[in-house]
Amino acid sequence: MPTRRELLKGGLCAALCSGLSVSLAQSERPERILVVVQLSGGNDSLNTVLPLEQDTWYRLRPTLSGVAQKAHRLAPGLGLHPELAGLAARFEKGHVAIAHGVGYPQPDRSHFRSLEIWHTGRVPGDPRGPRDVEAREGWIGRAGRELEQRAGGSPAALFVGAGRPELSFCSRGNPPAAIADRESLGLSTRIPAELLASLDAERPNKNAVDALLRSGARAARILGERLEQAANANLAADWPGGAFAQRLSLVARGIRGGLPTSLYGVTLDGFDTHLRQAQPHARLLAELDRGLAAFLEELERAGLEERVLVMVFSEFGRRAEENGTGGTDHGAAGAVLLAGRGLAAREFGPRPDLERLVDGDVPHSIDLRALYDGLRRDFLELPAEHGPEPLRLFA
Amino acid sequence: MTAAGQAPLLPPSVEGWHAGPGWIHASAWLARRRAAAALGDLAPRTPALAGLRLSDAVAALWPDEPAPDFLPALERAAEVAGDEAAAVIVETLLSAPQAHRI
Repeated sequence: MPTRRELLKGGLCAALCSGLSVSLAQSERPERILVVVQLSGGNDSLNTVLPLEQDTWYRLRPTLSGVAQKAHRLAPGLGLHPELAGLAARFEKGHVAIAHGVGYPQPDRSHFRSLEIWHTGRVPGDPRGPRDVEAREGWIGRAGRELEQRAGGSPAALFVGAGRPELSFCSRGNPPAAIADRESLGLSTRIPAELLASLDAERPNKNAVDALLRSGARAARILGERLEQAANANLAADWPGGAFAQRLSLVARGIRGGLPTSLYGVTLDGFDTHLRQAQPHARLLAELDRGLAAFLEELERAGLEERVLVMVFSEFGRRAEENGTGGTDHGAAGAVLLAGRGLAAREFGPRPDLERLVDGDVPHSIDLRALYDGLRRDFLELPAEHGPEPLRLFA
Repeated sequence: MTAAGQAPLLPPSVEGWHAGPGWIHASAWLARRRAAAALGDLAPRTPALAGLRLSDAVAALWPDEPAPDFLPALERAAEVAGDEAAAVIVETLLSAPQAHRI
């Protein structure tokens, strides 16, 4: 376990690699906003997007396939879990799409390694090597840095959640912008504003650790002030309780409040369902559906639905066959859900064929790099950065 | 510590703790600021700067010298704060970036 000093040194090295800078320029609400929802633990994609007409599914999942009875039927052979009513309704309107079988070559069943791959976009065998994994830079952090360079607004990327931000939001030289919840913004302080600002002011001729800490503190102070203003934006939708919805509501406030942020991240934990999966998985999907329904309704009421795209992913799917304890174990590729306007199709990629599993898993048919590059090129208007042809997501 | 994602003896996953810039994030800083404010609440109520040598307090809490204009600014803030002078001083000194190098 590294010491506090080693932790700081790690950050320092990363900062020095690219030059230390924290842009804090003010700008307007961006034209395009991507909200990335991570289902942590490995969501059981085959019990989320249901292959209703594949006999093999019923055979491999004698217990879990019970959800078929109340499934939302989206298209012949295709259903959604019964708890995903809101997403099913939006799928009907063409406002939700499913990207089937998203993953990467040589799938890794470790949560940590697979998350690293999803967060960095650097898959096994990438010719650029593990550089970004070692430097702890994520694909959203990279995109955020490019967006800040282009538009000047900051923070371009904001992680909303307790604890350490996900690796995807880390960017070389820039402390990730992150906030735990709305309550944490309420900083009543006795310190006069001028004195407070002087604490983290840049000082010439100081060492790099000092500069990094000052930069982080300054970014946090300004982010806190800016978010506190944005967080006062009124909400119109009927929001459910729960931490996930509360985090999404803070994202909604940031968007409605005009925060110059293009990339938001939120996680929903608990998807590592090895044991007696049916009920906890249903509860998690219900929490996901209710939170997203309120968030999307909020955008519609504010007339912002054209600007925002939501992407829901997990580090891997689960194995096709349920295990002996009513759960499922770590698998490979899984479905990614997209919610937004102007999507080119309701389904991307071929549906998983359970007669053609690889080592008991759904193999990937869409490389996550193609998905990321589709988002970069067609939504964020950034250059593609990977090898595979970008997925054409928009009409 | 928990709000900053650094709960003692509770690493974020069974993999342990990662090094890197991910720890120096805004959420952690805001949590540290709240902790500094809470510690300020514990400071005794005293008449402004009653016998307190600010330079000693800074030397005790910070590993390096403050900027030249810092001590006069803190002194003014403490005087304005009246009997909350000690609270202002504690909160200010612990909110500063250099306090996190202790």
